[in-house]
Amino acid sequence: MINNELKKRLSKIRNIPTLPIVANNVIKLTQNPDSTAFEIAEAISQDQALSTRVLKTANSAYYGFPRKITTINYAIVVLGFNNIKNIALSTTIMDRFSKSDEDLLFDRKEFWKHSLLCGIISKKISERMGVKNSEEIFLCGLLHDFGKLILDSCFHDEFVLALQMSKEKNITIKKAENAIFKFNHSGVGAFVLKSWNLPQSLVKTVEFHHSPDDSLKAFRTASIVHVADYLCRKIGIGNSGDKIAPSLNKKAITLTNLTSRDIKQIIPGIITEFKSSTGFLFEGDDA
Amino acid sequence: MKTKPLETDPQFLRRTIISLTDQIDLFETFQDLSLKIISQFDLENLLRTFCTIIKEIMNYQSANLYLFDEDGSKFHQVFNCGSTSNDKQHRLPEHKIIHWVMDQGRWTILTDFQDKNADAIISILPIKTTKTTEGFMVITTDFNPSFYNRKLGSILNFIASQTAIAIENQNLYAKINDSNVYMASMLESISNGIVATNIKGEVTQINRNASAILGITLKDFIGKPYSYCLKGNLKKEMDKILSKILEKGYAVESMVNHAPYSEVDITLGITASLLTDKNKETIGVIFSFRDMSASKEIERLTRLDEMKSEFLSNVSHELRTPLSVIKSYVEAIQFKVDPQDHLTRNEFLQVVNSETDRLTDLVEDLLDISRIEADRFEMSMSNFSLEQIIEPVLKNIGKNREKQQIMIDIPFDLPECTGDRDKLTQVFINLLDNAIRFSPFGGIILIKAWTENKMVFISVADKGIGFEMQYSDKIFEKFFRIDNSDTYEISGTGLGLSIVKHIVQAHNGSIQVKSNPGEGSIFTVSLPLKPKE
Repeated sequence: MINNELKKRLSKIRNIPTLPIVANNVIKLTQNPDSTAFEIAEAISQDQALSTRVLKTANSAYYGFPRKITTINYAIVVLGFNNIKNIALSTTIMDRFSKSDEDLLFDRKEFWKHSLLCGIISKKISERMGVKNSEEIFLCGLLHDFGKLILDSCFHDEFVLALQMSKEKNITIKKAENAIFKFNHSGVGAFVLKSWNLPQSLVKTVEFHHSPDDSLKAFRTASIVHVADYLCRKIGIGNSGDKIAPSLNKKAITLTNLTSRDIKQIIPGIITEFKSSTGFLFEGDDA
Repeated sequence: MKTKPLETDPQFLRRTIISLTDQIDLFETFQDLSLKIISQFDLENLLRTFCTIIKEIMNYQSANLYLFDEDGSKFHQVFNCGSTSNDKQHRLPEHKIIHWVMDQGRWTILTDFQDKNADAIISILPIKTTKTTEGFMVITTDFNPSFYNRKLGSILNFIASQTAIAIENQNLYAKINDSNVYMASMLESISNGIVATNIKGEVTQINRNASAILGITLKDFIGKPYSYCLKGNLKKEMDKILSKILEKGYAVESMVNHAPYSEVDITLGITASLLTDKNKETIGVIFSFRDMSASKEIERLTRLDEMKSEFLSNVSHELRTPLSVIKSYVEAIQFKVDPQDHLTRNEFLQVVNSETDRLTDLVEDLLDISRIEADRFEMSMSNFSLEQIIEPVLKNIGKNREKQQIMIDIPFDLPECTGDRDKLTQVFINLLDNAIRFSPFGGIILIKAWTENKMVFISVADKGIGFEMQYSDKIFEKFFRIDNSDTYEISGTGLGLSIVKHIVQAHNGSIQVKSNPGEGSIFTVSLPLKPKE
């Protein structure tokens, strides 16, 4: 997936998006077991916008803590290091790639809706399966189509071509990307996330979310995200560039142990949770 | 101030590597500690070990442990893990916060480090696995924010989840124990004796009642084949039942006499059923033993009671009939018969006389039976010839018979008998009286005598109504009367044959009967001859 063509193309580009330093430092700090809440709070405080977003997210219905969280420090001890790392990373990326594109073929707002829903469903599935660290899986779900953002920013014209091809020929965006770029968004996403030194599990999950059984290491998380991605398209909230759902991987659905009856049962709750817990993320855009 | 990327800071990188290595070492230590937790099977010890480990990690001021009830909605404090400060300061966080932390499932600090009023740090450590929620610990520690890092959280969460597993195991273990105790007490409270065996016949389970009924000790029995403790016909019966049930596959019932202790002989009812595992494969047999003696005794007493009530009504009838006859004849003599009419008066007096005889006989019978009951039936022995008995019998009986013809076939050379002459006379009166009474349509009654093997046999045969041979033993029981009231109305008390049998047996003799309904009966009395001098 991360093939030579991709490496060649990306190496020629000077403006590959980089992870903002503050978010990068937060992630690095959370990777050190000895880092204290104070150190992380200090790192986040370096970026006023990030601080505001972290507090807003920490107080959101998604986390639902019964008391008001007024300081970054308190957000860290209450929500824990993992959640804070995820909040910092996801809000940074969402801010970095939030500009609404005039090209209606790739609506960033719809893209993030799809991504958030995918994250929420991934977390739900992993909780049902009794997997620990469901917060990590949320991040995997959220960033599974991250590559599309890179393609859209770095190879905008070709990416638009791919979107058009997908629409005209009624093929998946992945196929269209492969035809035009000789690589696709899953490889690009994994490549960039890897270059940001993000955890291997996240990188592999993004890379294999279309074909979970190609990876031994990320089979579990990639399967969950794969199924969640599929369900997002069935539910019809958000849009990640194409309307065609890729075929569902049988091994992945077997692993998640979900029957169609289970799915019917959990979906209404997920939609409600999505609407109540993520509305705040889009407030500014609607205004 | 420009923020520098941390990954370019070699000092930070070195620090990270060292702390990661430290963390791995720490986890190895706690792995050992958690083994200590998991291997506990006593809840109290388990929680104490947990507290000790947490104390070692955090050096808390105070810690309180709460466990959820079985349905998971309410919790209660089970453990105060010790405190250095005043215990009254312990405050339980709001319930919604506790539930939020339980949902999150990880150690959570509730104190804002920047709160100027905070003098201690309160945190909640959930004790749960991914599937079950067992409880939580509220921990109060010194206000030392720099102590709180990611490593501490990982370790606490790890220890807590191990503890949750151990508690769950402990609960399961306790449940199994409870259900074992429950099953055992059920087994013991069953009033039957229960013995379970595997298909080889080795005993796997036995209750106290079984050991009492079978007369064996419990510890001897478990794990050994039942044949080890059971002997004789009980063992044979068990062998039979076992092979039968294993072959046929359905419940088998049986009955056997068994003497568990010397001089105790009981009738055992045995019911055997197959025991199967969850795949319906036969894994053994369960035997249920019950002592049938009691139920047999109840059956006997009930029958006796019924017979007594019947006897009472028969006796009152038998007493009243002659009395009312006597009374009416006496009244007639007194008021209606001409005092000069000696013929009629004589005739009536004879009737009164014979009815009085009947009453006397009846009272005599009653007295005899009560003497027999009281074991005061005395005999006065003498030597006599058979004719000496038969003659008065015929004289006595003669006047009652109407249609019946009595034939006698007694050899003249019969040797003498020894016995109570009056009582033997009574035997034959009773037998002959029966023969006449139960031959309502007449016919020949044959009295025959002969000797054989130092015994003299006297038989009384009639051509009367007879009876089914199934009653051949019962007719000798006191009060017993064959219920043939729907066919014939024949009076009687049910005492005669009982007295007969008793007298004959008192003479070391015996009495046999042969009968056929509608064809008549033959009663044969055998008495020992007087030994030759």
